[in-house]
Amino acid sequence: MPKIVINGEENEVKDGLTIIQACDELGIQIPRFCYHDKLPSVGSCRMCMVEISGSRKLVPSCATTVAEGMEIQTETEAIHKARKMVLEMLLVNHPLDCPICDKGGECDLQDQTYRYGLDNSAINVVKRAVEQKDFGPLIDPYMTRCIHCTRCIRFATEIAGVQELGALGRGDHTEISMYISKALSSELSGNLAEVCPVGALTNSQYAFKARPWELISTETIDVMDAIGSNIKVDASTLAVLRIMPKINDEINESWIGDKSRYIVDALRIQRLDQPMVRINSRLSKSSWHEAFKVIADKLKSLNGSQVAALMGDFVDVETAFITKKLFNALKCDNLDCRGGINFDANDRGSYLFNTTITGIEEADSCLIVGSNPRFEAPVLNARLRKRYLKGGFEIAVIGDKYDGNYKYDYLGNNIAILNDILDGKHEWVKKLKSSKKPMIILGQGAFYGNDAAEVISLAKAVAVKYNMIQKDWNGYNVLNTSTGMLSALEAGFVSQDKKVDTNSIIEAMKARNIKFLWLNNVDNINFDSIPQDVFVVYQGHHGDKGAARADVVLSSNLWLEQNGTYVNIEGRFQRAYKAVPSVGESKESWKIIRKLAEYINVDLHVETFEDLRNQIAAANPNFNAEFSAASFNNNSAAVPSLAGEIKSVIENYYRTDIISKNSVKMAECTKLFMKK
Amino acid sequence: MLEIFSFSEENKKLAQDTLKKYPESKRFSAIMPLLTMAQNQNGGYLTENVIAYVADYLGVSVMSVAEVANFYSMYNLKPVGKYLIQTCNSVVCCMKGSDELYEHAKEITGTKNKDVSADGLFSVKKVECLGACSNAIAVKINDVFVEEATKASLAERVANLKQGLPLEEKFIVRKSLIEE
Amino acid sequence: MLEKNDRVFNNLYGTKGVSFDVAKSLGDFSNLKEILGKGADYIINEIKNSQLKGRGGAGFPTGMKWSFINKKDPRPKYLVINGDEGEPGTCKDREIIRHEPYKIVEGAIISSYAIEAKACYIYIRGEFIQETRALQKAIDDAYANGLLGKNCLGMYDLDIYIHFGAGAYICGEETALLESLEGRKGFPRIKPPFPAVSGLYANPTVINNIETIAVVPTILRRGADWYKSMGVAEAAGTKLFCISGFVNNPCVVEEKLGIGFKELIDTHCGGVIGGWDNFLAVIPGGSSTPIIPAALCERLTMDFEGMKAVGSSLGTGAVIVFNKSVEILRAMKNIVAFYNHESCGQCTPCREGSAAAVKIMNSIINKEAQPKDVDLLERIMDDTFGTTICALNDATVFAVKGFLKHYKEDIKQSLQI
Repeated sequence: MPKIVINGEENEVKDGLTIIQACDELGIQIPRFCYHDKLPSVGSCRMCMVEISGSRKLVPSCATTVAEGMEIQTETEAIHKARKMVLEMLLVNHPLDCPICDKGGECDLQDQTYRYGLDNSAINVVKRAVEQKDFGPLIDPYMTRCIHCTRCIRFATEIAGVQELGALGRGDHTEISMYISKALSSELSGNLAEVCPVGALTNSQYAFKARPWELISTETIDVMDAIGSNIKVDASTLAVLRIMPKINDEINESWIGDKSRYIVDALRIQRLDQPMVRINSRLSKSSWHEAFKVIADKLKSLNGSQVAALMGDFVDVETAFITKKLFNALKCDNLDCRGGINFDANDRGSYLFNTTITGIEEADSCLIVGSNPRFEAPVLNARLRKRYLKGGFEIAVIGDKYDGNYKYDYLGNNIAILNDILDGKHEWVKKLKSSKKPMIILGQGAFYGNDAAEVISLAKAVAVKYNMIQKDWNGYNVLNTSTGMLSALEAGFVSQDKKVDTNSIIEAMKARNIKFLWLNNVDNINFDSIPQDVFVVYQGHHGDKGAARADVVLSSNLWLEQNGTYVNIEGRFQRAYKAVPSVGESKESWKIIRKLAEYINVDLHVETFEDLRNQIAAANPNFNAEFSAASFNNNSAAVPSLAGEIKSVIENYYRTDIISKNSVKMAECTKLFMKK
Repeated sequence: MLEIFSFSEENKKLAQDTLKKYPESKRFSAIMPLLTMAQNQNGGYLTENVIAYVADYLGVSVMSVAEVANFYSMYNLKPVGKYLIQTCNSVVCCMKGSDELYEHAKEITGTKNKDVSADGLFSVKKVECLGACSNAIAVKINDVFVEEATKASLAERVANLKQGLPLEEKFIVRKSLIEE
Repeated sequence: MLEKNDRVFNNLYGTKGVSFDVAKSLGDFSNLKEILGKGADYIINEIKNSQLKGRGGAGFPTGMKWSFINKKDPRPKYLVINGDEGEPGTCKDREIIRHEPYKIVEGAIISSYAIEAKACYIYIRGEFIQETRALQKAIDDAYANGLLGKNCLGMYDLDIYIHFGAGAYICGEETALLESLEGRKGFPRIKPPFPAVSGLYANPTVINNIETIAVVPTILRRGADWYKSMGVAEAAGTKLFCISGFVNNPCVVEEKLGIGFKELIDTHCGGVIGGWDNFLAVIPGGSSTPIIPAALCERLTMDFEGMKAVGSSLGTGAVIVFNKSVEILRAMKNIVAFYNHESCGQCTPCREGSAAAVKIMNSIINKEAQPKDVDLLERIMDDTFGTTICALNDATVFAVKGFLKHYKEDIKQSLQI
């Protein structure tokens, strides 16, 4: 812990920090362009220069490590002069097109010029112009504005792991370009818009939509995958205009996946914006009153065992909880949210990502089974890559091959290999044995064709045998893709009867034992197997297969239109906040249940959202508690011998759910990147 | 239809020898020598295909090779004539009249308004210091120096080359006056 | 004037022929084993004692540079020889490469031995492909005679490899050269870490100019005291001067440091074209050194102190002589454009500043500028000085400031309407 003196004040800082990192931690502002806290430093923009004792010249604070006793000045005349110079130089060729630049108002160059620069310059030469480039459908380049900080190149190479951006040419003729390839083949490429300190790389979807100071910003949670990335949603009064990452170093650092960012164009397309009731085999618009009445009448004619309810994607904890409460009140226990993979709701540790996302950085080996993390959670994949780049990280994959931007040993695609590993018969066991903090990741593919409990049982045995479970280390992980499922699981949205699951419910419908089916955002079950006389209620926000089959459609809000709580792969509860108003006559999803309860004369004892949250907290202490990883329950069941091919669940990253399927941007990406 | 580039047998051997110069894990080091070989084989310039081939040959990303090819001025990214005449543009040669010599070279090779002469024989370009300042004006034709170049000496060279005579290598060594 | 038998380079013009036998007959390799037998510490000390300074332009003491290598470090060590000669005016290494290559090889053997390097890379600018054949031949001869390879003379292992550049002046900067050798763009690295700690492939590395390496064997053969006895205090030994421009016989010549400028030109080059009355100015050490007008050249001596006295520096010993046929503005513009062309583009001040300077120079030459633009040019130079990773921008500043120091009023005058 070196002691350093910054601007006359003594401070103790962590070992190995650069001056700029130390200053950031201490809240001392140092302007910068090329430096980005998540990217390797190059020290080339010369904006962050500071004075240190013993150096005649100014030094770049991003490339100078603090040392014991170092005296640092950050606000001297010489520094101010140097900053003015750098800004003046950058503006020699930077077009002053701020009024039509999408970065205007949130541009580092603009802000820093305002703060540190000159208001004019005598250098009045013809500015450099750069040929317009094409970086694909997600990023609009205006390279004339480029200030050569190379953040984008470093982001693409280091974080996204694609070496497709480079600086071609030399000196002031250098241009950031792609070579041969025509679009950045990464699921993280949208982040370039924030990585770029000026308006050279901009979000194509947000082009010319708004000025940043007019936007209403809401910090909330992403639900397009299950890692719970923190996001900032910028909206006009009515509509979301863009989604950006919000820094959370424990989850998504500074990044979000392209699907999380670019589904903005699907938020108002194909929306269910008012209740509908099927009359004479056609869905017709109705009032809420009418819709509730139809449902209530139907429910009153049935007993609890004839009723079932399934939860799907995007369901929040509150809605799942109150829905369960309603159906339990009707003596119905035909509930499920797991969509076919029957996790044990009472054993959180068996379906969560227990190593935690930051924990990945401590691991030294990783066995990935039936998962393509790049598609299932691109930001998590970036964390795997980050760990990989540090070296000493052995990765092996069982399942379909994928291009993960890191090297791995491919072991094959049969679950039986896991048995071989358990029996010590597999070559890779050597690496596993020499590993101090090994981890295993089970993707959805690992459960393909086998009983989930058995797969988990086997994986747990592997985890125990190979030292993945230690006092301070839990290397057993499941990578889920639906935050809705995890949230519903935490709300306890499963049957008390272990034999009841989504499949058994469908079978029971076929056998005419269940006659009423409640769906909340469920669109991926086989609707053909549901007999025509089953009464289906669909609660959701996008019209797709589920709504098409429904007898009553209840239009509920999208997650961005209401408050709610979502659980991520680690079991972390995060609050999401309303960013935009409802569409049409849609209602908050928990309120729909609350209202329906009145129609069927059930008192849920929920008057306010607070009531609901208090009840959840009483039922599940994790709901309000600070996050801590779930514990590992040792496997008591006999370990089965399994066999069978593993299949990836996500073949097309860009179109996985009812929202992304409605996005034009995602369709463009599919066309470009998902060619076989 | 894109032409496909691959090293000649001779160059394949040379490439393997070149790789042996560097530690085994440092294949990047061979990018420059291999690009030079590829450029020579490809008629004096590099195309996307050639760059991609070199990248593939070394197992490195195309971008890392493209960056190198675009950075160093001896890599030509556009077609050049069989003989690339490079006139030194730096201060000594320039003060001695290399601008005029350049214009002259453009004229006698018929490349006034084009990159390559109609017969495909010549290209002329200005380059920075060739490092033969005591023998200014320095000109290079491909790898061969033409020192103390004048309009006449350059014209003679060009005429010879047009006749199909080989490119003659001849150094002019300027000695100190007290050296016998 | 340097006595003939005190020359280090006794075959600088290749008049005696270039071969292993000729080199041996001139003394190269004569007591190599004996020299190495005295040990690495002796060699380093002797070079320190000789006060040999790097001949590539920066003039860092060579012996000291070698002593920075930590022998206890288990990592492989490298010797990298810088033959990326490219500073306008400089053409001395070219003569060594084509006529005295055996001195490079022997120097490389001794230097590598001193720093315990087992591999040596000689980075030569791509334009010198013809010249380098002689060097490659010298290396091949050394292998054939058991002076390179494994267990040579029972004392050392050493391989020497030639690596060609491809046209980038910046690669003469030692860390840019390393980047280039590693197969990347020639971007100078931020120091620290210095190459002695983390150089080629992040291993301890010494980088020396070709001339520096080539004089090492002779110093050790004839002794540090002999070498020191030539030249003047602060500037010991001999130096290759490359004299170019408007002299009657431009040439490369070895001379004592401290020789008078006029003596140098008169003796070896037959004076200025048109006589000394026609002499305008001299750029004494390559294009980055500040220009010295004729009036200051009367007593000018070719050493570090002498140059300092007139506000210039010795640089690479590349003496560019201008007579009155030269338009100062054109020369200045040419030099500014050169540094702009060769800027790697990493640092803002150099990338943008040099480009702006070129544009301003163009407007001055075209008489489109106003006198205040000359001050603006100077301000850009002052502001950007010392703010970049490497010294390329500082070289531009030195050159431009040199011109402005002596010709600013003339230039302004030319812009008055």
